[in-house]
Amino acid sequence: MTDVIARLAAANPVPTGAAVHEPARLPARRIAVAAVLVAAVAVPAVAFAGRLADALGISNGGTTVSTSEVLPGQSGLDQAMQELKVGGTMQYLGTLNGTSFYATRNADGHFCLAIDHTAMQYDKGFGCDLNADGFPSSTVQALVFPPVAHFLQGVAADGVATVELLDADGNVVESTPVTDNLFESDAAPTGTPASIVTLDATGTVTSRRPLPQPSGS
Amino acid sequence: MQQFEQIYAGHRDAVRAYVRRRAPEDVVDDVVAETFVVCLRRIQDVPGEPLPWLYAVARKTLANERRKLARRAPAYAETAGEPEPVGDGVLAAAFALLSERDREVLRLVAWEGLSLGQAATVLDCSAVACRVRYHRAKARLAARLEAAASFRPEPEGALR
Repeated sequence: MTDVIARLAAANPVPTGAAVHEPARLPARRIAVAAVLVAAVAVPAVAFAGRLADALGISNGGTTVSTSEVLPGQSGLDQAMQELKVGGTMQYLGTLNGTSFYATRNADGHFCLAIDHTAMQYDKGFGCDLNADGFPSSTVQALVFPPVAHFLQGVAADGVATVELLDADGNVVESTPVTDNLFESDAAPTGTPASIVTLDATGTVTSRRPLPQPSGS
Repeated sequence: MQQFEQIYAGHRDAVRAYVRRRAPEDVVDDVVAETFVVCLRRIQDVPGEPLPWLYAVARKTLANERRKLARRAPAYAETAGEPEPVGDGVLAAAFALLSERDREVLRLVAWEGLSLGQAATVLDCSAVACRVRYHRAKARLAARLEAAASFRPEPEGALR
Protein backbone atom coordinates (compact mmCIF):
# COMPACT_ATOMS: atom_id res chain seq x y z
CA MET A 1 0.00 0.00 0.00
CA THR A 2 3.06 2.21 0.21
CA ASP A 3 2.65 2.51 -3.55
CA VAL A 4 -0.61 4.31 -2.98
CA ILE A 5 1.36 7.16 -1.44
CA ALA A 6 4.00 6.98 -4.16
CA ARG A 7 1.22 7.13 -6.74
CA LEU A 8 -0.33 10.12 -4.99
CA ALA A 9 3.08 11.80 -4.76
CA ALA A 10 3.55 11.32 -8.50
CA ALA A 11 0.24 13.12 -9.07
CA ASN A 12 1.29 16.17 -7.07
CA PRO A 13 -0.24 19.20 -8.80
CA VAL A 14 2.68 21.39 -7.68
CA PRO A 15 5.70 19.13 -7.49
CA THR A 16 8.72 20.45 -5.65
CA GLY A 17 10.89 17.39 -5.58
CA ALA A 18 10.48 17.02 -1.85
CA ALA A 19 11.09 13.50 -0.67
CA VAL A 20 8.14 11.53 0.63
CA HIS A 21 8.75 10.35 4.15
CA GLU A 22 6.71 7.19 4.20
CA PRO A 23 6.29 6.59 7.93
CA ALA A 24 8.28 3.69 9.24
CA ARG A 25 6.32 0.84 10.65
CA LEU A 26 6.03 0.64 14.38
CA PRO A 27 8.10 -2.05 16.03
CA ALA A 28 6.36 -5.39 16.03
CA ARG A 29 4.27 -5.50 19.15
CA ARG A 30 3.88 -9.19 19.56
CA ILE A 31 6.45 -10.93 17.53
CA ALA A 32 6.80 -13.78 20.03
CA VAL A 33 3.11 -14.45 19.85
CA ALA A 34 3.21 -14.32 16.09
CA ALA A 35 5.87 -16.98 16.04
CA VAL A 36 3.70 -19.19 18.18
CA LEU A 37 0.81 -18.62 15.87
CA VAL A 38 2.76 -19.85 12.91
CA ALA A 39 3.59 -23.02 14.74
CA ALA A 40 0.01 -23.50 15.81
CA VAL A 41 -1.50 -23.21 12.36
CA ALA A 42 -1.25 -26.93 11.79
CA VAL A 43 -3.48 -27.65 14.78
CA PRO A 44 -6.92 -28.76 13.57
CA ALA A 45 -9.55 -26.11 13.98
CA VAL A 46 -11.55 -28.04 16.53
CA ALA A 47 -13.20 -24.91 17.81
CA PHE A 48 -15.22 -24.76 14.66
CA ALA A 49 -16.53 -28.30 14.81
CA GLY A 50 -19.80 -27.29 16.39
CA ARG A 51 -21.21 -25.37 13.43
CA LEU A 52 -24.75 -24.41 14.11
CA ALA A 53 -27.56 -25.48 11.88
CA ASP A 54 -29.41 -22.20 11.94
CA ALA A 55 -29.77 -20.03 8.88
CA LEU A 56 -26.67 -17.90 9.27
CA GLY A 57 -24.46 -20.55 10.82
CA ILE A 58 -23.52 -18.38 13.77
CA SER A 59 -25.02 -18.00 17.22
CA ASN A 60 -25.91 -14.36 16.72
CA GLY A 61 -29.17 -14.76 14.86
CA GLY A 62 -29.90 -11.04 15.02
CA THR A 63 -33.26 -9.44 14.57
CA THR A 64 -35.14 -9.44 11.31
CA VAL A 65 -35.32 -6.19 9.36
CA SER A 66 -36.56 -5.36 5.91
CA THR A 67 -33.79 -5.35 3.32
CA SER A 68 -35.10 -1.99 2.15
CA GLU A 69 -34.11 -0.55 5.52
CA VAL A 70 -30.50 -1.67 5.07
CA LEU A 71 -28.18 0.87 3.45
CA PRO A 72 -30.95 3.26 2.51
CA GLY A 73 -30.18 5.57 -0.37
CA GLN A 74 -27.25 3.49 -1.62
CA SER A 75 -28.53 2.67 -5.08
CA GLY A 76 -25.37 0.86 -6.18
CA LEU A 77 -25.42 -1.38 -3.15
CA ASP A 78 -29.13 -1.91 -3.50
CA GLN A 79 -28.57 -3.08 -7.04
CA ALA A 80 -25.82 -5.41 -5.85
CA MET A 81 -28.22 -6.93 -3.34
CA GLN A 82 -30.69 -7.62 -6.09
CA GLU A 83 -28.04 -9.09 -8.37
CA LEU A 84 -26.88 -11.34 -5.60
CA LYS A 85 -30.41 -12.54 -4.92
CA VAL A 86 -30.90 -11.21 -1.43
CA GLY A 87 -34.42 -11.73 -0.16
CA GLY A 88 -36.78 -9.28 1.45
CA THR A 89 -35.28 -9.47 4.93
CA MET A 90 -31.89 -9.44 6.57
CA GLN A 91 -30.77 -10.00 10.13
CA TYR A 92 -29.47 -7.01 12.07
CA LEU A 93 -26.58 -8.47 14.05
CA GLY A 94 -25.60 -5.42 16.06
CA THR A 95 -23.50 -2.28 16.04
CA LEU A 96 -19.86 -1.95 17.08
CA ASN A 97 -17.99 1.36 17.15
CA GLY A 98 -20.70 2.97 15.06
CA THR A 99 -20.73 0.26 12.40
CA SER A 100 -23.95 -1.71 11.99
CA PHE A 101 -23.82 -5.25 10.64
CA TYR A 102 -26.54 -7.03 8.70
CA ALA A 103 -26.42 -10.59 7.37
CA THR A 104 -28.51 -13.05 5.45
CA ARG A 105 -28.22 -16.02 3.17
CA ASN A 106 -29.16 -15.32 -0.41
CA ALA A 107 -31.31 -17.50 -2.64
CA ASP A 108 -28.29 -19.68 -3.40
CA GLY A 109 -27.47 -20.14 0.27
CA HIS A 110 -24.39 -17.92 0.31
CA PHE A 111 -23.61 -15.83 3.37
CA CYS A 112 -24.12 -12.14 2.62
CA LEU A 113 -23.09 -9.24 4.78
CA ALA A 114 -23.89 -5.54 4.75
CA ILE A 115 -22.16 -2.91 6.84
CA ASP A 116 -23.28 0.60 7.48
CA HIS A 117 -21.17 3.07 9.40
CA THR A 118 -24.07 5.36 10.07
CA ALA A 119 -21.97 8.42 10.85
CA MET A 120 -19.76 8.10 7.79
CA GLN A 121 -20.60 8.74 4.20
CA TYR A 122 -18.32 6.11 2.78
CA ASP A 123 -17.95 3.23 5.19
CA LYS A 124 -20.78 1.23 3.74
CA GLY A 125 -20.78 -1.97 1.78
CA PHE A 126 -22.42 -5.19 0.83
CA GLY A 127 -21.17 -8.52 -0.45
CA CYS A 128 -21.73 -12.25 -0.52
CA ASP A 129 -19.21 -14.98 0.07
CA LEU A 130 -19.61 -17.12 -3.02
CA ASN A 131 -16.80 -19.57 -2.33
CA ALA A 132 -17.52 -23.24 -1.90
CA ASP A 133 -16.01 -23.19 1.56
CA GLY A 134 -17.76 -19.93 2.37
CA PHE A 135 -18.19 -18.38 5.78
CA PRO A 136 -18.55 -19.87 8.30
CA SER A 137 -16.30 -22.80 7.57
CA SER A 138 -13.20 -24.33 9.05
CA THR A 139 -11.03 -22.29 6.71
CA VAL A 140 -13.05 -19.06 6.72
CA GLN A 141 -13.82 -18.21 10.32
CA ALA A 142 -13.70 -14.48 9.93
CA LEU A 143 -15.21 -12.54 7.10
CA VAL A 144 -13.51 -9.17 6.84
CA PHE A 145 -15.19 -6.32 5.17
CA PRO A 146 -14.38 -5.01 2.66
CA PRO A 147 -12.31 -7.96 1.48
CA VAL A 148 -9.31 -5.77 0.77
CA ALA A 149 -8.80 -6.08 4.44
CA HIS A 150 -7.19 -3.04 5.86
CA PHE A 151 -10.26 -2.51 7.97
CA LEU A 152 -10.50 -5.11 10.68
CA GLN A 153 -14.25 -5.32 10.74
CA GLY A 154 -16.61 -8.12 9.94
CA VAL A 155 -18.23 -11.21 11.29
CA ALA A 156 -16.63 -14.20 12.98
CA ALA A 157 -17.63 -17.81 13.46
CA ASP A 158 -18.67 -19.19 16.80
CA GLY A 159 -15.74 -19.88 19.07
CA VAL A 160 -13.61 -17.07 17.67
CA ALA A 161 -12.59 -14.69 20.44
CA THR A 162 -10.01 -12.57 18.63
CA VAL A 163 -9.21 -11.66 15.06
CA GLU A 164 -5.75 -10.49 14.13
CA LEU A 165 -4.03 -9.19 11.03
CA LEU A 166 -0.45 -10.21 10.44
CA ASP A 167 2.05 -8.66 8.09
CA ALA A 168 4.14 -10.66 5.65
CA ASP A 169 6.67 -11.38 8.38
CA GLY A 170 4.04 -12.73 10.77
CA ASN A 171 3.96 -9.71 13.04
CA VAL A 172 0.61 -8.73 14.48
CA VAL A 173 -0.34 -5.40 12.93
CA GLU A 174 -3.85 -5.22 14.32
CA SER A 175 -5.92 -7.19 16.76
CA THR A 176 -9.48 -6.89 17.92
CA PRO A 177 -11.83 -8.90 20.12
CA VAL A 178 -14.99 -10.53 18.86
CA THR A 179 -18.32 -9.66 20.46
CA ASP A 180 -21.43 -11.62 19.52
CA ASN A 181 -19.72 -12.81 16.35
CA LEU A 182 -18.85 -9.24 15.35
CA PHE A 183 -15.57 -7.37 15.32
CA GLU A 184 -14.69 -3.81 14.46
CA SER A 185 -11.40 -2.15 15.25
CA ASP A 186 -10.93 1.55 15.83
CA ALA A 187 -7.21 1.31 15.32
CA ALA A 188 -5.31 1.36 12.08
CA PRO A 189 -2.94 -1.46 11.20
CA THR A 190 0.60 -0.69 12.20
CA GLY A 191 1.88 -2.37 9.05
CA THR A 192 0.59 -3.85 5.84
CA PRO A 193 -1.71 -6.80 6.54
CA ALA A 194 -0.91 -9.95 4.61
CA SER A 195 -2.96 -12.57 6.43
CA ILE A 196 -5.75 -12.91 8.92
CA VAL A 197 -5.86 -15.28 11.85
CA THR A 198 -8.61 -16.18 14.27
CA LEU A 199 -8.00 -17.26 17.83
CA ASP A 200 -10.25 -18.89 20.36
CA ALA A 201 -10.62 -17.82 23.98
CA THR A 202 -7.47 -19.72 24.96
CA GLY A 203 -5.40 -17.92 22.35
CA THR A 204 -5.18 -20.93 20.09
CA VAL A 205 -5.18 -20.17 16.40
CA THR A 206 -8.25 -21.64 14.75
CA SER A 207 -7.71 -20.44 11.21
CA ARG A 208 -5.27 -18.53 9.11
CA ARG A 209 -5.50 -17.42 5.52
CA PRO A 210 -3.85 -14.89 3.22
CA LEU A 211 -5.63 -11.69 2.37
CA PRO A 212 -6.21 -10.33 -1.10
CA GLN A 213 -4.10 -7.25 -1.65
CA PRO A 214 -5.20 -4.00 -3.25
CA SER A 215 -3.97 -3.63 -6.78
CA GLY A 216 -2.11 -0.47 -5.73
CA SER A 217 0.11 -2.37 -3.33
CA MET B 1 14.27 40.47 12.04
CA GLN B 2 17.18 38.42 10.87
CA GLN B 3 15.35 35.30 12.00
CA PHE B 4 12.23 36.24 10.05
CA GLU B 5 14.23 36.92 6.92
CA GLN B 6 15.84 33.51 7.19
CA ILE B 7 12.48 31.83 7.67
CA TYR B 8 10.97 33.71 4.76
CA ALA B 9 13.86 33.02 2.42
CA GLY B 10 14.04 29.40 3.44
CA HIS B 11 10.38 28.51 3.28
CA ARG B 12 8.63 30.96 0.99
CA ASP B 13 8.59 28.58 -1.96
CA ALA B 14 7.39 25.63 0.11
CA VAL B 15 4.57 27.64 1.64
CA ARG B 16 3.58 28.95 -1.75
CA ALA B 17 3.54 25.42 -3.17
CA TYR B 18 1.44 24.24 -0.20
CA VAL B 19 -1.13 26.94 -0.86
CA ARG B 20 -1.17 26.38 -4.61
CA ARG B 21 -2.01 22.72 -4.05
CA ARG B 22 -5.11 23.73 -2.15
CA ALA B 23 -6.35 27.05 -3.46
CA PRO B 24 -7.17 28.80 -6.72
CA GLU B 25 -4.33 30.85 -8.14
CA ASP B 26 -6.01 34.18 -7.51
CA VAL B 27 -5.88 33.81 -3.74
CA VAL B 28 -2.43 32.25 -3.44
CA ASP B 29 -0.49 35.48 -3.06
CA ASP B 30 -2.84 36.80 -0.40
CA VAL B 31 -2.70 33.61 1.64
CA VAL B 32 1.08 33.36 1.43
CA ALA B 33 1.47 37.01 2.40
CA GLU B 34 -0.91 36.65 5.32
CA THR B 35 0.92 33.54 6.48
CA PHE B 36 4.20 35.40 6.72
CA VAL B 37 2.56 38.40 8.34
CA VAL B 38 1.40 36.04 11.08
CA CYS B 39 4.90 34.60 11.21
CA LEU B 40 6.40 38.05 11.68
CA ARG B 41 3.82 39.03 14.28
CA ARG B 42 4.37 35.81 16.23
CA ILE B 43 8.07 35.37 15.57
CA GLN B 44 8.65 34.37 19.20
CA ASP B 45 6.26 31.43 18.76
CA VAL B 46 7.90 30.00 15.66
CA PRO B 47 9.54 26.68 16.56
CA GLY B 48 13.01 25.57 15.53
CA GLU B 49 11.48 23.65 12.67
CA PRO B 50 9.33 26.38 11.13
CA LEU B 51 7.84 24.70 8.07
CA PRO B 52 5.08 22.59 9.70
CA TRP B 53 4.16 25.60 11.81
CA LEU B 54 3.98 27.76 8.69
CA TYR B 55 1.80 25.17 6.97
CA ALA B 56 -0.51 25.20 9.98
CA VAL B 57 -0.80 28.98 9.74
CA ALA B 58 -1.38 28.77 6.00
CA ARG B 59 -4.02 26.12 6.54
CA LYS B 60 -5.92 28.32 8.95
CA THR B 61 -5.52 31.31 6.66
CA LEU B 62 -6.88 29.27 3.78
CA ALA B 63 -9.85 28.20 5.86
CA ASN B 64 -10.60 31.83 6.61
CA GLU B 65 -10.26 32.67 2.94
CA ARG B 66 -12.69 29.91 2.02
CA ARG B 67 -15.19 31.20 4.53
CA LYS B 68 -14.92 34.66 2.99
CA LEU B 69 -15.40 33.20 -0.49
CA ALA B 70 -18.36 31.18 0.68
CA ARG B 71 -20.06 34.31 1.92
CA ARG B 72 -19.40 36.16 -1.32
CA ALA B 73 -20.01 33.37 -3.85
CA PRO B 74 -21.00 30.02 -2.35
CA ALA B 75 -20.78 28.02 -5.58
CA TYR B 76 -17.31 29.38 -6.30
CA ALA B 77 -16.05 28.42 -2.87
CA GLU B 78 -17.29 24.87 -3.24
CA THR B 79 -15.57 24.23 -6.52
CA ALA B 80 -12.54 26.44 -6.73
CA GLY B 81 -10.10 25.45 -4.06
CA GLU B 82 -9.20 21.83 -4.57
CA PRO B 83 -6.55 21.02 -7.15
CA GLU B 84 -6.80 17.29 -7.56
CA PRO B 85 -4.06 14.78 -8.18
CA VAL B 86 -3.02 15.38 -11.76
CA GLY B 87 -2.29 12.94 -14.55
CA ASP B 88 -4.05 10.01 -12.91
CA GLY B 89 -7.79 10.10 -13.39
CA VAL B 90 -8.47 6.94 -11.45
CA LEU B 91 -6.51 8.24 -8.51
CA ALA B 92 -8.20 11.63 -8.72
CA ALA B 93 -11.62 10.00 -8.65
CA ALA B 94 -10.70 7.82 -5.69
CA PHE B 95 -9.11 10.76 -3.89
CA ALA B 96 -12.20 12.88 -4.39
CA LEU B 97 -14.28 10.26 -2.61
CA LEU B 98 -12.28 10.65 0.58
CA SER B 99 -13.23 13.09 3.28
CA GLU B 100 -11.26 16.34 3.46
CA ARG B 101 -9.77 15.09 6.71
CA ASP B 102 -8.41 12.01 4.96
CA ARG B 103 -7.23 13.94 1.93
CA GLU B 104 -5.29 16.48 3.96
CA VAL B 105 -3.20 14.01 5.91
CA LEU B 106 -2.38 12.16 2.69
CA ARG B 107 -1.45 15.41 0.94
CA LEU B 108 0.86 16.39 3.77
CA VAL B 109 2.78 13.13 3.50
CA ALA B 110 2.67 12.61 -0.26
CA TRP B 111 2.84 16.16 -1.54
CA GLU B 112 4.56 18.14 1.21
CA GLY B 113 6.81 15.22 2.12
CA LEU B 114 6.18 15.63 5.83
CA SER B 115 6.74 13.00 8.46
CA LEU B 116 3.71 12.09 10.55
CA GLY B 117 5.14 14.08 13.46
CA GLN B 118 5.35 17.15 11.26
CA ALA B 119 1.89 16.49 9.82
CA ALA B 120 0.55 16.34 13.37
CA THR B 121 1.84 19.88 13.92
CA VAL B 122 0.01 21.08 10.83
CA LEU B 123 -3.19 19.29 11.78
CA ASP B 124 -2.94 20.33 15.42
CA CYS B 125 -3.34 16.81 16.72
CA SER B 126 -1.17 14.32 18.56
CA ALA B 127 1.36 12.23 16.68
CA VAL B 128 -0.56 9.09 17.60
CA ALA B 129 -3.83 10.52 16.33
CA CYS B 130 -2.11 11.62 13.15
CA ARG B 131 -0.64 8.17 12.63
CA VAL B 132 -4.05 6.54 13.02
CA ARG B 133 -5.62 9.12 10.74
CA TYR B 134 -2.92 8.57 8.13
CA HIS B 135 -3.14 4.79 8.09
CA ARG B 136 -6.91 4.87 7.92
CA ALA B 137 -6.84 7.42 5.13
CA LYS B 138 -4.27 5.43 3.20
CA ALA B 139 -6.33 2.29 3.61
CA ARG B 140 -9.45 4.08 2.47
CA LEU B 141 -7.67 5.40 -0.60
CA ALA B 142 -6.40 1.91 -1.41
CA ALA B 143 -9.90 0.56 -0.94
CA ARG B 144 -11.34 3.27 -3.16
CA LEU B 145 -8.80 2.45 -5.84
CA GLU B 146 -10.01 -1.10 -5.59
CA ALA B 147 -13.63 0.00 -5.54
CA ALA B 148 -14.47 -1.23 -9.01
CA ALA B 149 -13.57 -4.70 -7.89
CA SER B 150 -14.96 -4.35 -4.40
CA PHE B 151 -16.73 -7.43 -3.23
CA ARG B 152 -15.68 -9.25 -6.34
CA PRO B 153 -12.15 -10.28 -5.46
CA GLU B 154 -10.66 -13.44 -6.78
CA PRO B 155 -8.85 -15.06 -3.86
CA GLU B 156 -10.55 -17.90 -2.11
CA GLY B 157 -12.33 -16.93 1.03
CA ALA B 158 -13.03 -13.37 0.06
CA LEU B 159 -16.33 -11.76 -0.52
CA ARG B 160 -17.53 -11.45 -4.07
